[in-house]
Amino acid sequence: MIKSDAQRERTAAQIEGFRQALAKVDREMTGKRAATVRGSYEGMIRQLEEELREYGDLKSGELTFPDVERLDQIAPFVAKMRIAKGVSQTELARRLGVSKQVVSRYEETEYQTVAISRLQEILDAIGIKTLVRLKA
Amino acid sequence: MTAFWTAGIEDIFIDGSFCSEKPDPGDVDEYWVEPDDGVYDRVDPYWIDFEMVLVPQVRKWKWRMWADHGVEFFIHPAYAGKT
Repeated sequence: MIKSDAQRERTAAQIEGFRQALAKVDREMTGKRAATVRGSYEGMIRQLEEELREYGDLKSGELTFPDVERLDQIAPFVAKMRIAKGVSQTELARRLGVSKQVVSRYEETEYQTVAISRLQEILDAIGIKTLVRLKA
Repeated sequence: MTAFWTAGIEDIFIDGSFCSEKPDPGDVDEYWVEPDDGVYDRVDPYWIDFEMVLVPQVRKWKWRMWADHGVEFFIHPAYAGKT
């Protein structure tokens, strides 16, 4: 998943790299080898393009907020919510009073290492309201 | 891995979230280095099937090997540079 504009640029460059590699496959490979390597590169391009599209959708605020049944299901959505709210990693770090590297590390692990109290602080900093209902 | 070793592939590199600090890693990204251009006739076709399938759980198009096992084996055509 793309989590920042810098990653978006790197992903776009990767796509270009695979396109150039595809051209090289056409020039230098033949037969089953060419078809197989071509298939893998085309698959990679498609996946990377999907990631770009997802990031673009999130940046434009298109995100359906999930109803979750377990608190640990919230974590994977935090980065998406941050992007959809237009908050960069740098800005979130500023609001939390930590370095950008800390936020980057949180997101590399999809917030799985973050305690619930910290997760609430992060959601507050992003501007996400939470509604928790417990049932016996 | 046996499918690769028996096909004569000697170099496989592992990356992805299993190589990170993520406590609950989601998938494995690996790539194998092409030993020669005949390897595609020896390796199990399943592992060089790069057709995309829609994975409902993540609502994304992924390779079948990812849908079935959560792994992606990429090809590094190193042999191309030696010829």
